[in-house]
Amino acid sequence: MSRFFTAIFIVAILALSVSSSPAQQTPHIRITGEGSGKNTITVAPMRDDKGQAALVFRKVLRDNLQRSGWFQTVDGESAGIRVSGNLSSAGGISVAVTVEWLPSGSFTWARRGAADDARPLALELCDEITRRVMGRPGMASAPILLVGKRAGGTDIYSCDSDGGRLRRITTDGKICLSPSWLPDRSGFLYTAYLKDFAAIHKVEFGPPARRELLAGFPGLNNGGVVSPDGKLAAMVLSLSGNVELYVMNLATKRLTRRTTTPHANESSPNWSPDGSQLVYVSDAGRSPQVYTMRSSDKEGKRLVFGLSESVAPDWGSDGTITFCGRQGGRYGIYTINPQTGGAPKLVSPADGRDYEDPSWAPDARHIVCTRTAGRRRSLVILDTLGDTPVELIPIEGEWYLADWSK
Amino acid sequence: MQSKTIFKRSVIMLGIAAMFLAAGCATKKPQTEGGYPPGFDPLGPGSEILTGDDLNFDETLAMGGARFDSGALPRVAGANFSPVYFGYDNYQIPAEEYAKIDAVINFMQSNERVVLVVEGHCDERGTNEYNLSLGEYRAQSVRAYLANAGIAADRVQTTSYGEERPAVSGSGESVWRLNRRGEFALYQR
Repeated sequence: MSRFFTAIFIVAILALSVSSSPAQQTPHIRITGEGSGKNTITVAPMRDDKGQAALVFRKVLRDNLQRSGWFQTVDGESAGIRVSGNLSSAGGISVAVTVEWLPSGSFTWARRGAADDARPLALELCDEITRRVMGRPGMASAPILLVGKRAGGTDIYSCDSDGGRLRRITTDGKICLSPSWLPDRSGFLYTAYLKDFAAIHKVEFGPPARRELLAGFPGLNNGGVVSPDGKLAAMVLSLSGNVELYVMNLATKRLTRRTTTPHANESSPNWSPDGSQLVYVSDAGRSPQVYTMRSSDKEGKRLVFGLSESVAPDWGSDGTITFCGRQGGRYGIYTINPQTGGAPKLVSPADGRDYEDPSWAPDARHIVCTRTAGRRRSLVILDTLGDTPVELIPIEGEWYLADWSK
Repeated sequence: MQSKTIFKRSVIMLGIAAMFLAAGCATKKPQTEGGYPPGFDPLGPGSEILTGDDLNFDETLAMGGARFDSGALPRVAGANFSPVYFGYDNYQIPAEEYAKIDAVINFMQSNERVVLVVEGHCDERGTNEYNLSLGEYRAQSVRAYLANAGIAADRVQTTSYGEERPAVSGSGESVWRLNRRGEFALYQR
């Protein structure tokens, strides 16, 4: 009799535990558009040896899966997507994991490296999960360039997409602006006043690190940005006596003037993802507005209407353009599809603060921009699908003019 | 006796079951969010990737004529001229500002070896890049006025600081109007 009750008891317990487990619910991958109803993911099943590198890997992975906007990280071992396997801090960092999602999705991922590699490897895995599970490019492993102003002066900095590994790159302490990545992330262009005038410089990380003067013509030299194929650089110069848009052949250093607007000035060029077009700003129509121009065009075509100003455009990987627009005395971040045109869509909060200088993340979903509150500038990550903006660098100083590598 | 034993075992098993279920339902406290541990300075020693010693400054591009403001020429001592002020988002010189430029013209006509860099500036409104272009356009307007008055083009260059070097800090029109300006920097050739 006692054995009978024991057996019933055990069966009852098992029945209860099975029915209460979330794993019993069939998970499915949801592609959402409004930042809600996200796919649950857990990294809890990963085992580690409690070493520092393993702990860093786990935290960076978990945090950036959440930041991606596609996932809701959950504690416990049950979720729609499970990351299991082993992390070891012995001799550096060793990662061997399996990512699984129902009904039959899975992949394995293994890497080794020095202890310092724990963070970048976690960012890389985050992007791989986004790509494999969601079918979308990630943003986690794409670094950001920015301008920082602290007690020592103004310089160019870089950081990870979540603000980690913030590093000062230049140490001149002089006015600098307009950093833009080289397409292979081997360096960047930027404008610096090293000799008290604006000149465009090219920095290569190497090693060895190298900085060369790219454009120091009489007048203005600004807004240098390299084409996706690495062969050309668009820039704004006034060596002809008026501020115009030019393209420089980086091999020969020869210049081609792309605009002729003697009663207007241009600024802020950027390339389309395939390098066949330029987007830029011109005040030829009395106020600064966004224009596009194909390589075969003799003049640009205005893209944005309906705002008192539209400036600082950036072209995203999916073909959408983001820019800063002024309406009602305030600057906000907008997006527009150059193929279909139409009314620009406001993607920054209408909270009484100015949002400027947007730059797309490679996921074509998030945007980093400069927010000004009072007199302080800070960098904020916006989500075009509605998640709450996140401050990128929550430490003392002014941080602005970011460029997200594509 | 038998029923007591059964009851005791049942209680024990219930306890074990409760622990089993509780373990499955327990949630860990969320980890502390934030990218930087307390006391950590990401800009501490060793954080710089490139230092001055690592940089190989190499002028690979020949510029179209030396810049007066590159540091090679000395500034003209005591030559301080009033800035020219501009309207909002405007590069045209207001008529009431002409006299200031006329004073510079007179000085340059009397001192043939003096060359000039006109510096264009903007107030804080608008993006940094557009303001750099607008500041340059203001400087070019002054340069054109000087050329019309007979000052040789090769004696006048322009530069722009956009909103990067305000004359007065703060906000509001009383401050902004003092930052929308063209300044005169004279050098001795």
